[in-house]
Amino acid sequence: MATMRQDVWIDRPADDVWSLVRDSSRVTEWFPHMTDVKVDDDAGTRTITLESGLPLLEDIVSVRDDLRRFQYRLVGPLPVQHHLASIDVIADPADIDHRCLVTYSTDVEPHALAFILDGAVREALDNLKRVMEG
Amino acid sequence: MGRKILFVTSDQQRYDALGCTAKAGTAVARTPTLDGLARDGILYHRAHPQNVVCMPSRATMITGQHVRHHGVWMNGVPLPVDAPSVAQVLHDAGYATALVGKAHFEPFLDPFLRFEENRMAREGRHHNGDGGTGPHRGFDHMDLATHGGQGMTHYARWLAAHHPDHVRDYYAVLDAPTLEVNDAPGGETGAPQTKVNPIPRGLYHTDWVADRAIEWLDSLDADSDWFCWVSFPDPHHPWDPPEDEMRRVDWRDLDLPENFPTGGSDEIERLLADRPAHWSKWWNGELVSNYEAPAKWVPASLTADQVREVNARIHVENELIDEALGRILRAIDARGWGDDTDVVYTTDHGELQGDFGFLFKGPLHVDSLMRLPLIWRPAPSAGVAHADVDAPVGLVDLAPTFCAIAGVPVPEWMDGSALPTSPSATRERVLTEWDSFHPTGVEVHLQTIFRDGHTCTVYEKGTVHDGTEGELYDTNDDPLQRVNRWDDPAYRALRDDLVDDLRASLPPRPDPRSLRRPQAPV
Repeated sequence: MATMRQDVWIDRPADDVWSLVRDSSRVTEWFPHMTDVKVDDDAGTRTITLESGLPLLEDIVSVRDDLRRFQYRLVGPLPVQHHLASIDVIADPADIDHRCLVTYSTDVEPHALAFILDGAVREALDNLKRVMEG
Repeated sequence: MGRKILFVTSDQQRYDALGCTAKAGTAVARTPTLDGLARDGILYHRAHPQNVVCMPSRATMITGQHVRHHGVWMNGVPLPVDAPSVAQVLHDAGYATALVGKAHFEPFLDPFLRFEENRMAREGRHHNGDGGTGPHRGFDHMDLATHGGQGMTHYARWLAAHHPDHVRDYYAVLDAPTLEVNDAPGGETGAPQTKVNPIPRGLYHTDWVADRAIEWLDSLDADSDWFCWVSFPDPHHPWDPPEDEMRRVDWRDLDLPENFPTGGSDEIERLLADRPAHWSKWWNGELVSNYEAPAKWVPASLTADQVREVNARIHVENELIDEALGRILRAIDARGWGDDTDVVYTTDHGELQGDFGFLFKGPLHVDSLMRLPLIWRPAPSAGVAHADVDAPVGLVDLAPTFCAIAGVPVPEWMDGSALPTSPSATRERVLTEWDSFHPTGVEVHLQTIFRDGHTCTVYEKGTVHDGTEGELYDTNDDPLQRVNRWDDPAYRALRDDLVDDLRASLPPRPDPRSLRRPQAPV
């Protein structure tokens, strides 16, 4: 099992960033290389289509407004044996109304996927900062 | 018109792979084209890569920089798109530029399609995307291939479009459930990464690369100056040449490599006992430190027949490369460019191929992986005499050599210098470094200097090393590098001098915070 974490500081209120991150259907607005997302609220799943044409099938594990935590599992068709990603949006205690830290933690098996997901997540967080800061 | 440059690389090829470099009486692969280039040009007997895996080594070729400067410190770390490039220098000097075959400046495993070389191939483009029409890394034209018939390369796209029945002929390099390098056997002896490949020779990637290179050359005006990097994916694993060609070499007839320990596990354990721990730990299956060999394959399981079969397949692949290169040279002659074309041939790193009881590659800085074939046949019109050069040189010297051929100044950002052409050249040293980080947390760091016939390696603290280990081989009296002199008091003064020289000669290590992270295992 590989475990990774990436983070980014964003000069926007935590609630603003959270409103985008928590919405499963808006992931294509900030996560690059995704062309489409279909959410099945009843099943608690979403299907993302990548620019490569590859779909990503994901289970939404939790959307916790009190913690500003979004968790999902990648379940296929990449050869995932285990995956859990947690995105936390944390207000900066020193500037609670204007700045927040976004952490994106991933546990994955097989570990060969770790570098691939880590690189994509880094690009996504950098893009989230651009999108939010305008 | 100036001199044209044909730069030809193979992948994972040992120094002794060719007729002109094999020890007398031991050559198996017939390589008359390369032997002829060596006879007419300059044959380097001590060419080392600056890193023994593909991406860092190729980044050194295109930038002319040591790893610490270009920053591609392990496979999976992409070379930035705006990194310095000798192809760009030549392009700016008026050269038409192309890369045909394996680039691998960017990761192959790319489900998010984040990397331009993969996007280019997938979209059927041969130049830069994102609305641009200009060169990518200085290449006007790219036609990309790698080791199989699937994936995001122009070759895979061509095979799928024109010969879909052959897409799955090749060995699957990666094991699908784990994305690790596959260890499944597919040949006759149970060796990993072997397969009886039914693909016809004309559809095999070696011939495809030659065909595309000739096609590009034929598209140029007669008065063009050009730089064409022809990058054959072989003889890198998988070892699956067209089966019809395997009749050239019967593995059952092959002698074992000189450095394969025929005394079985007792001999190997003795050989590895005085080396840093990762040698033994990899050999007996205790350690996986990188993605360069199958994780599930244990070298201790390697048999003599498996070594013979792997070697036979590699010899066939080397012959196919030589024949493909011959076709390209004839096409160049047919255009009337023969007298004005420089040919430079080398590879990115070596292959263990049975030495010490191992296959593949890893953090083992010995000649199997570090001593490379390198031939420069200057344009006949330049009037450079044949030479055998024993002085140590590096792949870091290639880019400055191309600048020298083209008559353009060597940019300050290049670390190397143009290859010497005289047998009395006095180059002193060549440097190689390895850094790897595995997602399981395993880190390995080593640096090597080759000087005065000595190979000296120091280790930094990592997962299996405490930073005090080292290796010192005296290739003057131990050409197979079987005796580690690191702790030999008689070599202590020399060892200290070599270590001081290594540390003084390598560029400073960059700030760890500036290191780019791997984006894929390969």
